[in-house]
Amino acid sequence: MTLTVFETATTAEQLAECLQALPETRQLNHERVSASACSPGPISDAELLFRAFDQPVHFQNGEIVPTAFDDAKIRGMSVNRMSYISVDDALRLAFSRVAMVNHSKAQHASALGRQPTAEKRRMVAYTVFKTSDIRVLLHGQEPELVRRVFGVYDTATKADYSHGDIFFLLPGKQKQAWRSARSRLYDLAKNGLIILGNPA
Amino acid sequence: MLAQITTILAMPAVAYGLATARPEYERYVDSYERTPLVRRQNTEHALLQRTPAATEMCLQLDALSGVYSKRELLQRLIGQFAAIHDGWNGEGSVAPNAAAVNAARTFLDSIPPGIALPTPMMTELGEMEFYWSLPTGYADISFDAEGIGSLFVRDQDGNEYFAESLEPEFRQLPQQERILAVLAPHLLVTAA
Repeated sequence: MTLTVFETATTAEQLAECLQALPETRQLNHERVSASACSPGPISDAELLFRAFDQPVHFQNGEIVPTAFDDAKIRGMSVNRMSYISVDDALRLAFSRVAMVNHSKAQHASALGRQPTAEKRRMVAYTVFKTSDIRVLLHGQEPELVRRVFGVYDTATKADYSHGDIFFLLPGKQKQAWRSARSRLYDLAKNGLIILGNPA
Repeated sequence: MLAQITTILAMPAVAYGLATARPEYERYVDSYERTPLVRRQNTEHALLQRTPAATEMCLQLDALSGVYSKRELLQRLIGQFAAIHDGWNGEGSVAPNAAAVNAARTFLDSIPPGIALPTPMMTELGEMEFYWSLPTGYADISFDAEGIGSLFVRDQDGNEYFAESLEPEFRQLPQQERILAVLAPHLLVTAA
């Protein structure tokens, strides 16, 4: 049996590149079968997806900025499937991930003899997407050239079986397509955005 | 004497505080659960606006609006982006270089009065960008490591426009009418 890109890619960045290089039919076939042995099953169109934002640079003037969605193109944008995890538990996972990243950043900064405070992660907001809202986004005008823009895959892990990823699917350096796709993702995220206060 | 009494009274309070301290996320979850959710029509999503907290890298226009003009605040934020280190968003992410930062500064200063000022942002490839999200549409402009710009515009009817190889000067952007229809339609009405 042939291994899939989900099994052969060694990094998230490589997985994003490999997925983009596949023909559309294969990209979409991967949505219909589990991408991970740990997954409870492929992600259905009706599922709600939780996405945390923990990079303060991506939060300006009370809003998430469009560059917050660049992960979808570069390495896959992590989400949690709300059918398999509560918002509270997804937040707990997100907070512990932030603590882990900050700890590692502090160690790295200390080794370089500098203060990491300006680049510290902090949970700033989260949003909820509906899978079908993402899968319905298309690129292209001519009917025979129309392509799906994003793929939504069940990339569960042993530690987090609710994990999924949203990947930008168009190959090459399609600047306009990406900017258009990113702005659509930004619009969708705004609908369900919850901005977190600064806990006392 | 008074200081001793204060210390004696304060010690148990501190000890109690430490003993009952909980992780940050638990305190957040408590307050989140107590706040009623606002259900939006035709969506399962809940919208709940909370007061954003300022950090070193976040722009808060309200907080400093009496001291600086909005343009000055945006320039200060660009200055903060410029001071960021490589690796700011994980392995492989790079800080914007001088050409990208200078292009962003020049472009911001070139935006004529009457046009809404955009929000700055940056990518992990080191590009400096701005975006507008307005009732009349959406636009963003990106300056790469050579200070060359690319512009994306989508009007409220969903029509898109994209241009590359741009100078960081608002008046030199192509298709001014199309851009103004999104960013400042009132200027087109005035001109007509």
